[in-house]
Amino acid sequence: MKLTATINGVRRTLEVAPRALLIDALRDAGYTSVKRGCETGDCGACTVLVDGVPLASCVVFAGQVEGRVLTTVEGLGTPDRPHPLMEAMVDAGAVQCGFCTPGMILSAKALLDENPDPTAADVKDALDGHLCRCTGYVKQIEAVLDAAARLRTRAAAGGGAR
Amino acid sequence: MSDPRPFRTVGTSPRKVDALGMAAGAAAYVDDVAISGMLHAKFLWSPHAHARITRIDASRARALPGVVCVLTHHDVPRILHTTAGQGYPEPSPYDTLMLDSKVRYVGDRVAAVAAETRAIAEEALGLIDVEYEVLPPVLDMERAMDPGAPVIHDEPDARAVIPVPYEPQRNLAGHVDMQIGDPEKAFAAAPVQVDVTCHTHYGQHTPIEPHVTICWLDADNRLIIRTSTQVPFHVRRIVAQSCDIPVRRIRVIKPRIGGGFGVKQEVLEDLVAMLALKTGRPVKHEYTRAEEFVSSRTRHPSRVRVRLGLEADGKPVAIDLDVLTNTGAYGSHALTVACNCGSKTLPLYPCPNVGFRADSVYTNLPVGGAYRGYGATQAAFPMEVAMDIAAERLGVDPVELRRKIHIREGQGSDVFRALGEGKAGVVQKIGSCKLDECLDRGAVAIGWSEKRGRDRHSPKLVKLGVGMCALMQGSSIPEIDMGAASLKMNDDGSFNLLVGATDLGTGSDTVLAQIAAEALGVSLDHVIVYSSDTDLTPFDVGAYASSTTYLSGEAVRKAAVIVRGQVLQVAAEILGLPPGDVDQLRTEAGEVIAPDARRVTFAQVALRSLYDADQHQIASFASHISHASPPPFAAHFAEVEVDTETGFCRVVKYVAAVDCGTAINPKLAEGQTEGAVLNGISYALTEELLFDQAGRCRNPSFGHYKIFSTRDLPEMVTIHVPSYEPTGPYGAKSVSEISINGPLPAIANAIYDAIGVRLFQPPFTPERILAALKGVAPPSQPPSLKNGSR
Amino acid sequence: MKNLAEFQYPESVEAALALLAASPGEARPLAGGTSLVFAADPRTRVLVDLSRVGLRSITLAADGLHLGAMATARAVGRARAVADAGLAGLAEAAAACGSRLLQNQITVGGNVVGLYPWSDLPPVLLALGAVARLRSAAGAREMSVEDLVARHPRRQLKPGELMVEIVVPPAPRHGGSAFLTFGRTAVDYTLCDVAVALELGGDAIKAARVVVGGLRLFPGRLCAAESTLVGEQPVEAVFAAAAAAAMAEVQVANDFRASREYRRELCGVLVRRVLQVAAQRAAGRTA
Repeated sequence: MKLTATINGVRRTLEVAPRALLIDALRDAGYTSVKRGCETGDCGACTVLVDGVPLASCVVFAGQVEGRVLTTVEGLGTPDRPHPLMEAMVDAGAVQCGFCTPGMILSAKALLDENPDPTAADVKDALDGHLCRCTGYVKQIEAVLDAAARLRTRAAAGGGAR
Repeated sequence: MSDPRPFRTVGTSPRKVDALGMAAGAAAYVDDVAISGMLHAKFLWSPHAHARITRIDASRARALPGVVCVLTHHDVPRILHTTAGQGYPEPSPYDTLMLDSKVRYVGDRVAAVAAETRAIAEEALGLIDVEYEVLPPVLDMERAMDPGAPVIHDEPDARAVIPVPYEPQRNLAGHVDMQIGDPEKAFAAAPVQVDVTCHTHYGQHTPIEPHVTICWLDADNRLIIRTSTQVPFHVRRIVAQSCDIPVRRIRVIKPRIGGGFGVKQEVLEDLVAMLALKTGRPVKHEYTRAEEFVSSRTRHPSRVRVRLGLEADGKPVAIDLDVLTNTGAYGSHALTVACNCGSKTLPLYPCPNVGFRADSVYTNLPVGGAYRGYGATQAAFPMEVAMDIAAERLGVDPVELRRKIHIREGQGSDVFRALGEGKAGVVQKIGSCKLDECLDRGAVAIGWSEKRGRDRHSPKLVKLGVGMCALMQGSSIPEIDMGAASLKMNDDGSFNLLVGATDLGTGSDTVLAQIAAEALGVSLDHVIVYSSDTDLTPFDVGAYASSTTYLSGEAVRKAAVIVRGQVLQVAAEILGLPPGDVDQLRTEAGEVIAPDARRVTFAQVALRSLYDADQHQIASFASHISHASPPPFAAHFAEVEVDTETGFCRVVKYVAAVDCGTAINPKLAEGQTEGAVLNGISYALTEELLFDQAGRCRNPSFGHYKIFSTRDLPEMVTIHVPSYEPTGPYGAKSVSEISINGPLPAIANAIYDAIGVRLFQPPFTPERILAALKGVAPPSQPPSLKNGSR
Repeated sequence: MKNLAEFQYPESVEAALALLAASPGEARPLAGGTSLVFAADPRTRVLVDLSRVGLRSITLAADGLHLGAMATARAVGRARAVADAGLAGLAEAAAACGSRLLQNQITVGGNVVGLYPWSDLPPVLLALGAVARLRSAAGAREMSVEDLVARHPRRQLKPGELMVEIVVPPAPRHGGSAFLTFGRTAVDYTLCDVAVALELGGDAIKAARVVVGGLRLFPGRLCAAESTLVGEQPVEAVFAAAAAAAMAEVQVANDFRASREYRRELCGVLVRRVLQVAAQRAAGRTA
């Protein structure tokens, strides 16, 4: 069946099997930052923003995102123009194997969109669906708080210019 | 080498070289490439713990449209090998076939399918008709060597390939023993005696990326294996052996890897390779999470008894370690994990009389393998609980007891000499040890003196306690492991650093680049690292045994020193200096600087050597083996809160003070420690593979095998206490494994401080803690059958 | 669902009901999907995606708190209306529905109708005396959550019938509710959870509903514990007696993670603790 959605700002129509899961539809379409870690919604590596809300795409049918706006980490930034969350993750030393990183960045993005000045506890709550085996989470939490500060600074600077 | 401090790049924390690409979602991992015409493989797993395949008929599966190949034991070579990715000849027995007519655990391989889609491959599995003769299984490691126990490896040709004890007819996969002095005599005379037996349970590594492999034949009919491995060179050798093709026909590519922790030191690629060889098409195989839990590898469960005999002043006069480990259905790492139970604990406390015996037995349960800590996890637990008990009997503070008796710089241990990996060890003296400072700073950070013993006799329902332990590990396997590196110079004065060492997420590419940059006198961005590809990079044993920074790092340093010499030669020519004056040149920030302050850039050197005069490629190869395995040391401190009504134990704060020598990249080193600690904590409190009475795993999912998430995280404090290891690159030792060993004993000792009961059987679940508080028998043992009857 | 052929995206409840009625047995409603993705039912040919039919609102009215069936656990846990209604226990249960990622996807309807032993909302809805509103192309009806979870809710619904809303009656003026769950980690399938709704009258407990979940297939009221409470003062000794009664009456199924004996004991501890919290809340509302 045909599935039409806006993915990272581009309206795309994908051919998918009716029982296809969102993770497979996206990976097959080349969005390989969506990682497969468990297939049960427990690890968060496959997180995608659907209308801005982070969901585990391995427990979402592709058909459920018909007409929706999807964001994968490829849509947030590139190595040339990284999103502040990407830079903060790198600077904090939060990226070890990196397999959980895209998903965490997306959940963190949703958190910061909603709450630009979170506490460490807010960050822990927001990331509790993302399993990481390398880091012990310490540096990811630091990174999200740091990114929040960067984004606030940027917003303040932008506000001042206007 | 002389002490080169102060450093320029070493000891700083630049960005991890590959991190930004990963954070931006670069297609860097095994499964991020699509190869046209790729088939999808699925394996059929045994539903029985122990059975003979009396008939297997894949004709219905082969007839399914879209199925391209089905392999059973009839279709593949019968070549015994080990899946343990170890140096050749391996200390693990040759007891494994690509596919066999016998299955030895629930989750063992039965057959493989390659089909046009994953769904077709899955459907085809159900169409393979298998008849089994079910055999009685061995599910309790304590009964594995009983007379008359079912023999798991009754194939006549299962064998050890090095001269070590191996008796498969008794289900004995590995055995080691060692004695120094006369422990029994010393025990008899020792005024303080402690006797502790602890168990450890089945755990799984759970890298977030499961095992995934893509194999294809290139234009020259060579087999390309793109795989998530820690040991590309061992994969090449063992797949060649198992598929019966020459090593030269195989190229193994290790791209970015989504974590390993030892489980990717296992060579499981052979069957995917065979499917590609049989079909001539690209084949991908990806373990599901459930398969990863059961059919990859696990931590060897163990029962370890420690006996200590101490003088009245605390000095050990006798230590004896008696070990039984369960290697599961195959003997992967059976012997060497058992050896490490002794070699990574006993030298910590010098003692004139030491006994050590270990058996590793086969059972019909999932296969043990290499897992961060590698035996030290299993043995440090009882050792450090025993020390806690000893301190209490002696009436001394546990920190002070360790301080008094631990090994010191300049001291050797007969254990180093006596106990290697499958052979005798190597004589070595401790070249660096800052354990005292670890003890001091860790104690301050946890608030040891204020918090110790405060709730033991209080009427509170939720009690706090603190506990600690001391630890050691090693750095590489001495006189066995080898790492090599090559370095070549480019036009712009940058360098390609090619290493066989395997970055599996640890940051070793960055660390090795920092070492090269330090030795060359260039900035980090002028070192382009590539790891690893068996066609392109020099040999390295791979990422295990805490070896990469220490061993491969020294190979990199050597290679860089050679190249630097070549650079200086050319620079001297440019500067018109006589060859004898080369020694007076120094390098800094990509420039060669003469004593008279004249400067030549590395780019000038490169352009001259490549294009101008006496053209040659500035390049080098260097190899390194180590004659020592210098231990990192650590003192860990846990603060716990125990709910005496529910039995729930929460770690409130955890302090890891670690002496890893020079931390080449302190931030990455911290990351290693934090990750190891949290893995250790959740192994101590919740993680456990559970089995029913038929040997089936009950909880092969993240929903039921609980690893910690952000909301379970205690306050974590990491303290790296610098020392300078004279045999390591820029003073470095290892850091990656040691800290996974601390949480079991530190938390057990903290629970005792809180509530006055000792736990010897992890994980320390609420139910076990409550049972211990009530003084009733904790839930049944062994852990492999726990809850099986409920 | 190997025979799944299409998705339908109705934009109203009526349209959804018509689609379900049109393909009895073959059309299945799809809410969040976290469980349905694992369903293997070969009869299912059409999934009727409910994401466009509305039913997401969470509103406080005179007859109680209305939870749309498509409201997510995350929305319930954070809704102003839930706080305004004084239903702290409901917010606590919603926040316990798995990780944040899953809370974004789990719906009220899915959590109740797709009941599992570890579903977090049904116990508290039962304790609060909530009523489920069901609709089909043929008409509408109501059923108490207590009746709905007496068997599996999916078997209570008629073919083509949807649960469209849950109505939680207004909390009494001197009422308080609380929910406590116990897992091995912060995000875990519960080993036992207890939801309580108390009403105080004067200095005594006027009404009490105590519900336990996670111990067997369906959540259930602990009637002996409830009757221990009614008419007594909200004090520790009474709560302890209720906990003892709960432990005596509760039925515990096998669970490979922990023994029945342990989970029975755990139930007692949770009953006592959750009663303390609920009683404080009820007293606070009195004040």
